[in-house]
Amino acid sequence: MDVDLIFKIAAIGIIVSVLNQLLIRSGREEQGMLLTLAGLVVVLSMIVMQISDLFATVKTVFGL
Amino acid sequence: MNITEILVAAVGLLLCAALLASVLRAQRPELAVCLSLLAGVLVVGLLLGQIAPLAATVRRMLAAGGLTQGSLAVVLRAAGICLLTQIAADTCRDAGETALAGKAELVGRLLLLLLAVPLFEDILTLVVGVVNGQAVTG
Repeated sequence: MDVDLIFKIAAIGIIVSVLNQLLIRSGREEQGMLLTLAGLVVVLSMIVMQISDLFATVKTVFGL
Repeated sequence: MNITEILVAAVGLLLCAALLASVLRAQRPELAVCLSLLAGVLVVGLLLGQIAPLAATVRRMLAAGGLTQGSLAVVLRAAGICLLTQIAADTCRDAGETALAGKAELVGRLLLLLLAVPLFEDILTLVVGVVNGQAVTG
């Protein structure tokens, strides 16, 4: 079980929001938005593997 | 893994995820949605990994009830479709997209209907056979 993933995502979220605030305060809104997007992409790439695992499990268990 | 361990693992994981998601929701709502989706996927995966004895029992009960292997496959596939579309709909609703959640549920309903059409046809042929038999004898 990958409980670590949940903590990883929470940490990424907190770090991204802090850095975003920092960038916005220093007048770089575009880079802040890019940072947000990068964080989202990283998190999504972590999630996609788990979802594909779930699909495989559901396929084998329920015979879809 | 016995029942208590599964319960403790699932409850702990879900509570941690809920707390972290509520922390994240104020700043980064999209990551909060990702977090809750991941927690749901992990818990369902944990449960499905332990469900093998239950599946064997259901198979035995249905066989004792006189259902064929085809009907059992239909029932199991319907359960799988319900599970996946429920996850999708709940995630959409968490993300604030009620319309998309409704679409996910619509997909689930239509696929279930599609899955059940052969069974409806079986019942229909059975009814027609019975009615014709009564007409012939009566």
